[in-house]
Amino acid sequence: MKGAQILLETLKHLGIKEIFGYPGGAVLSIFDALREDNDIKFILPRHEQGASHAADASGRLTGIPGVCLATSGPGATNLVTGIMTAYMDSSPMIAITGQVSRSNKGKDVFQEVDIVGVTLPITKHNYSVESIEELPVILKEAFHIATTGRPGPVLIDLPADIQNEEMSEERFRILLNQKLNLFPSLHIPKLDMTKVENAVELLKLAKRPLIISGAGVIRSGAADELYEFATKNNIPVTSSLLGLGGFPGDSNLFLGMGGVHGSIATNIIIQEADFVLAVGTRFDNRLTCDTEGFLDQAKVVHIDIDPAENKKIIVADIFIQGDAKEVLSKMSEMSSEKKEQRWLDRVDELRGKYSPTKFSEKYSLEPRRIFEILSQKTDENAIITTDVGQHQMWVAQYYKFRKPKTFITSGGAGAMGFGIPAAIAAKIKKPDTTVISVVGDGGFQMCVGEIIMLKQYKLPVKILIINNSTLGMVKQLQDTFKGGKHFGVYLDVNPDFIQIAKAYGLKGIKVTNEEELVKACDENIDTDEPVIIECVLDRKKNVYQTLVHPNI
Amino acid sequence: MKRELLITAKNKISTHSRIYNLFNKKGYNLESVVAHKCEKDPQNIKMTLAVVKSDQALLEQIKINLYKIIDIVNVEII
Repeated sequence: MKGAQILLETLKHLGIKEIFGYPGGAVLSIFDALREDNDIKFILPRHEQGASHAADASGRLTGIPGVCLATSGPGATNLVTGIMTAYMDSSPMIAITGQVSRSNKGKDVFQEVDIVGVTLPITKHNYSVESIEELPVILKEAFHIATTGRPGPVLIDLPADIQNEEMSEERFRILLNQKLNLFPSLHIPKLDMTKVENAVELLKLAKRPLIISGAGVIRSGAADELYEFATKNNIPVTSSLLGLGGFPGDSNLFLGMGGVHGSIATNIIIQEADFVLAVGTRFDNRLTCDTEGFLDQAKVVHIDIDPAENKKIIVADIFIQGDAKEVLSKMSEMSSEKKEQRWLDRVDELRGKYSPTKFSEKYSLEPRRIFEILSQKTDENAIITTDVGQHQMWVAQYYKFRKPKTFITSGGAGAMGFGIPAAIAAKIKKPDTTVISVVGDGGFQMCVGEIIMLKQYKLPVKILIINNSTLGMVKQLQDTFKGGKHFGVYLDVNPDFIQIAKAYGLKGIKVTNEEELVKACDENIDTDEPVIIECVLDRKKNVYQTLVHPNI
Repeated sequence: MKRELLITAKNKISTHSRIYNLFNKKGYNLESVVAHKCEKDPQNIKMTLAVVKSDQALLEQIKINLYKIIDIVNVEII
């Protein structure tokens, strides 16, 4: 068996079904092996960044690492943005890069780059394979590292000569079945029940409790446990951006997203709470804005699987290291008290006071209406992927996510161009689910080439371009911090998006008012063909309910 | 006050880079470094890193983050 075959066989052994990859000189043998392999589906994006974002999204949806593959040099460096996105949002992923042959290493030969050095700060771990004997073990270790504890990306740099080296099948089987080394750094200690008991005691004393739910709830599959715990104790729930979907958006206990672009009511409730249970959230600065004074009134219980989150931003009264699912179910068992109505009345009062006003404009498109309509026209299982910017915040504010893993977005990294490759991966992994990619006119152009995959692989993804001819979020920042003096943010010279759709063999529809949007949704969301719906928006529309602070 | 971190880690090409990279990320300079292969266990290296700042909370953070490096075996602060 050749090294390349060993790579594919081991990946299959680990449950990998597809590879998002781009060919090149240093991965020739892997492509040769892929040609002969009938079990692994090969998907060809048009840029390596698309491959890495797609692998990332695949990992977020399934919990099994998505695999992307690129050649050495520029192929490998083009993966970097996607690897960093997976790292920031704790998504399991395996990136495989070709490398020049061992005899050429360090000689600056064609397409050589030290990708292990480049990705050192943005991977959970990375490997440079030094012999064929190591390969099966490294792959198994990489899979284990990517999925154990807090998930993350792992990169494997595989020299071209090892891909072509021979090993007997017998030897390969022995290596494949070898027991895995256990890493002390991945060891998760047994749940400290005293801390859980103390947390429940703190909750009993609380008059104004609140839950802040993060991506950890979704990664650990703890949505049901969270729902049970919150409803049993009548505790309102707010969420970080990546935590959306972890608690049903249509529940009366759900307050929506908190933080910089969260609602005023939610942010006041966060500050008024006297007990906060933060589950699987790392207190990102988009949630806290400024840590000084944040949660000052509250006793804080912080649950996270990663001990490094303890005291990183917030010094919690009790930090529980553990899996959100396990901790929440234990806390549920121990607590049974219904909370007093006064706090919930106060929550309702604040929500009523700051609820968004009704719109009188009937003829132009209003961001809030776009996503309320989208919410009505899609079922609870529909997956929404977004890019980064104003449209992303509007989705977070107005779309009602009802189930976990229905919202795939680049949170920590804030990588534009994420939305379309992510939607493609989502449709491949969940072919029976409606997949909608909401993108801005700026981000759409970053990975526009990837839409050809919709045609090539017959993927009926629906793309909604929110076109305000502006890099809106930056424009809004210039409004706030630079006295409204805009520079470099107008996209007055935009391509014709409907013509782009046509050029890629896709259906394109332009909508300018609510009526047209409703019609376009009714006619296209449930169909079997991909479509691009361009919503033309006034560039003056901003994301409202924004906290202003120099740290932003 | 000078504080020291005693680290035992796997003896691999990238181990040093991984450790220094963490200090780089946290913006925390090193005063001195001593590193050598373990005589009794050649698979591991021992390092002594001296830092000038003695903020206990920050040192604890660095210790926890060092443990997240897969090749780290043991960390002690003295």
